[in-house]
Amino acid sequence: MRKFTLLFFLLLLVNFGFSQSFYSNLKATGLTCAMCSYSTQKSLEKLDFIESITPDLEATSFKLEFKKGMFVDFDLIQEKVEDAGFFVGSLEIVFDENLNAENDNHKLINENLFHVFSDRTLKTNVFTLVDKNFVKKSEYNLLSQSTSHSCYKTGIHNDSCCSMHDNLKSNRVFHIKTNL
Amino acid sequence: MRYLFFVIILLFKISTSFSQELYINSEPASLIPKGTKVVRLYHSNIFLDGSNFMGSITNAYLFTPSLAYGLSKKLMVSGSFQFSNKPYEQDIIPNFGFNGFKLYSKQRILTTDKQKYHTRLSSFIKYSYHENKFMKNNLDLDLQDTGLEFGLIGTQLINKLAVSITSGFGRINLMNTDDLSISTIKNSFSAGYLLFPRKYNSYKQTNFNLYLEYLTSAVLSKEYPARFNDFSSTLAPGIQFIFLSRSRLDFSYKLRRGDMPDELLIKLTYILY
Repeated sequence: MRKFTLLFFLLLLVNFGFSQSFYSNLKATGLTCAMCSYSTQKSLEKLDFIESITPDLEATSFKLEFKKGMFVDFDLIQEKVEDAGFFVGSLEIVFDENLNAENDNHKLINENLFHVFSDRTLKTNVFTLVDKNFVKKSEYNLLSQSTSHSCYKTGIHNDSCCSMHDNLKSNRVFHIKTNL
Repeated sequence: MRYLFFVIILLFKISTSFSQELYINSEPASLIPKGTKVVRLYHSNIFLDGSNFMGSITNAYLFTPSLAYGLSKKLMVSGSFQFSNKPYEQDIIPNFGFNGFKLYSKQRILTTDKQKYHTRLSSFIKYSYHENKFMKNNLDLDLQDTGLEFGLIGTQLINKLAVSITSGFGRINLMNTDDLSISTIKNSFSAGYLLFPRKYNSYKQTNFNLYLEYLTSAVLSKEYPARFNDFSSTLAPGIQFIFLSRSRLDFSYKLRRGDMPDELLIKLTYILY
């Protein structure tokens, strides 16, 4: 029994080590002054899944850290930046550990389902959000050609397009591309 | 006029560093963030006494509290009350009191944003009501007249330089003669730049901005009482302090062309998130 308990704890520990998480670097556009950055930060602070916001005023960017066990809704992040009167220039997602970036792979990380775009198979931890509302139309059209999955059009996970995932907190699937 | 162009060009040259569009005497095309309330307190001193202007007994003192609210990212509204003294009446009893109100709304028409760059176009509509005038042959809806104004604002930020142009068409109702109203066109040009800090590293840094604004008003109506100036212009240099990235203290000195009195404006702004 004691052996079993030990094994159980070991398993828990190993499992904990595998529990991936991520943070984001958000680059806002259309602003220069600290007052505008502050407005943007105040707007973002209304989102309950954000743990902390660290601004870089000179670069008008924000490092966003998220609460564990919560679905991170990047659409809401975009909405809050636009409510403040500005735009999302780019949104980078940085994982704790390297991922095997394979085209059309799906990864459930923390509570978010990600669809990976990649030209080749490689290991990296820095990705950019490339969903329809986050990229230029030309880039969206280009990326659309590199996948047959309908989720890039709809943004919604379903059984026919992606691998099965049960108990998802949200069916919204976000699409990420390697920065390499 | 040549001097003004020189100043503007100089401002363009200097402003390779920073600039702001939180103008003191005009509104930028940008809106306030959705759900945000902006409280403003204006205090104006119009130097009537110094110029012994048309029989005034004292300077005009104006106090204007204002509240603005961001209804959505595309629409903001604001309202203000004006309290003032009556500079043409004998001040035997204190005569400071309510003198009018103003309603204003601004709608975003278009915006394009890039890194530290934006072009914005907005429209606005304004209604003003005022009981007493301070400058009897001037027409100014913001300060002392009653009427409606609508127009467009364009603001451009390039390489950290922000300039703004406002153009508005106004219908001003003349006091005591309700059937007579005058059409006016108001144009303004505003520019400003941030002197300190040279490099941002915290929200707590106090910002110091310099502004220069040129405001004009012209009568469009062919027939109007001769006592009104058909054209008036104001050059308004100003300074601005921003504290803790959420409150501002502005000072602006309005130099009016001709024999019109100058004015000192002090403006306090606080943002409620």
